[in-house]
Amino acid sequence: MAPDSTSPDLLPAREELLAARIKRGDVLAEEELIKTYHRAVLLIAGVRTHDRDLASDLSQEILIAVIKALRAGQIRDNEKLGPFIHGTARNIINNYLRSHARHPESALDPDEVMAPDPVEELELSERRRLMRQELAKYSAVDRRILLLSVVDGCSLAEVATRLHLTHDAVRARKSRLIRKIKKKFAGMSQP
Amino acid sequence: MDCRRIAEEEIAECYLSGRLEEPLREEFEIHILGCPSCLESVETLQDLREALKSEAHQIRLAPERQRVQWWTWVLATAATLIVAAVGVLQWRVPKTGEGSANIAQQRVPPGVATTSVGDETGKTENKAARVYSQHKGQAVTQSAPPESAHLGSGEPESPPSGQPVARGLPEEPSAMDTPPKGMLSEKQPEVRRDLQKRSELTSAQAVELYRLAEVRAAPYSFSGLALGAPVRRAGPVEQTTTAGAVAGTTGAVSPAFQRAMVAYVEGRYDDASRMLETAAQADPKAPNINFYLGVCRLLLGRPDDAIPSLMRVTEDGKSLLVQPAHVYLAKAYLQKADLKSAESELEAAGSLPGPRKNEANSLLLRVRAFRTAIEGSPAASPRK
Repeated sequence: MAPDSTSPDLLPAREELLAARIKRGDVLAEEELIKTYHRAVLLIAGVRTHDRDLASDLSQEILIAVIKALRAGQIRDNEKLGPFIHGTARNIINNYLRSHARHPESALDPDEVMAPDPVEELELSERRRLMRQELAKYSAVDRRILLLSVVDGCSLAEVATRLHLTHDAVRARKSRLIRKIKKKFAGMSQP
Repeated sequence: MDCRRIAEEEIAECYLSGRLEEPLREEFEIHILGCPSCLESVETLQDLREALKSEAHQIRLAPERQRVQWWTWVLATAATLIVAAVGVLQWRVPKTGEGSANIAQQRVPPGVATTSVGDETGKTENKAARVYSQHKGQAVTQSAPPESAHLGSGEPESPPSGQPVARGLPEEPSAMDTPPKGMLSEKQPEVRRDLQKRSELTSAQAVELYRLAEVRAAPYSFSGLALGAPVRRAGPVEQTTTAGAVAGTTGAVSPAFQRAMVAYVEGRYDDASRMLETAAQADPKAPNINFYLGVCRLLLGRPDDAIPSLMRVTEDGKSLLVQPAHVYLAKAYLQKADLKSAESELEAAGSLPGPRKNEANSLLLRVRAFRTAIEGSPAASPRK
């Protein structure tokens, strides 16, 4: 997997510029930040909370908190935006998990924040439907390999033992399947 | 953390399944915040994970077809070969077992008349004709077995063995129904001699003669209405003898005849024949006894024994069984390949009033056409 052209390591200047624009009150910069980081924040919140609806709420809260912090100029010089967002997300999520309470209220005007597009939600459901269709095309053994490794978290050796296959065979088949799925669904999750 | 390491160490999967240590997890999360490519991979894996979760039950229950497929194919192939081998063996056994009556029957099925064996023998003799020559008359002295000894149903397939024949049905005896699956007999050397000369028959002719000579059992009813005709009673005593009476009889029937007819309707023609012979000793001229004795003998493949019994019925002249007796006599002569005698009997049956007139005339036409075909003589139209 090659590093992407939008990686913060390659474009630190872009992040600094974005932070500076938000600090100056550029609404378009805030929208760009949300567009850029919303999916990742949503993913992180979903993985940590195991609740997609909660993750959606928390992701909005995280991005609002980031924008507020950027507006207030709380980001240090030379601090990358990615780790700053991640730190904010981790703190908010951990606080939520500790308090077991939601904090949807925000002093920020909702009109100023670009909420996640409902179309994204539809795209997500459509993507998962297509994924089920794709799975249906695979053999029972291939689907079991994926289930045991991706969902159950079994190692390749465990999968090989349970399916009476060799380790190399499981590794090859899993690699081929994942590569095929990624290739087929590449670009489908792009905003 | 770079994208290559993430791919090689399957960090994305571990992350989604919560198996990453906290430092590594944070490092990975920071990476995906700035790497759309890895983010997309994780999202795709997450979609895959959700899809797998939703299908997990079916996936776990699905049989591992891939593993058993090899053995399944081997077993299926072996089973196919075994079935094919058994089929070939069963097909070859009848070829080597010529002389069996049942096999001969199989070799002259209706509608398979054109199967020629000329290629095998180098002669013009065909298969059906060869069967004739091998069985020498038994092909046409075919006797309807108990299973097929039923008359008047019009069905080519016979009822099962032991089933009473047309009990209580007011049916007329019919000897030209569609051929049952009868058996051939090897008991009549004289019949063989008669048919030896016909070994030059074509297969079509052989099958036609086979069909003409086939006999089905005449029905019998213990109610006395088997023949479907009113019985002329001579007096008050005869009018009371309904049970066990037979149309055309002169009065009460003997217990021996009743026992014989029990065997007859049950398809035990051999037993019936013996009991009827016993009954005939007590009343040699009784039309019913002689008629059914003749029919039994025909069904047992003994046309020569059947002819005298049936002739006694025709000599009576007054019984309603006279016309059916002429038809069965014709069948007996056909089994002996005596076409002219058969024609005479059928002419006699056609000349008599009764329900068998049309049947006799139809059979007469077929016999004449057959004789014309094998002898070249012009066929005469039957009497109306």
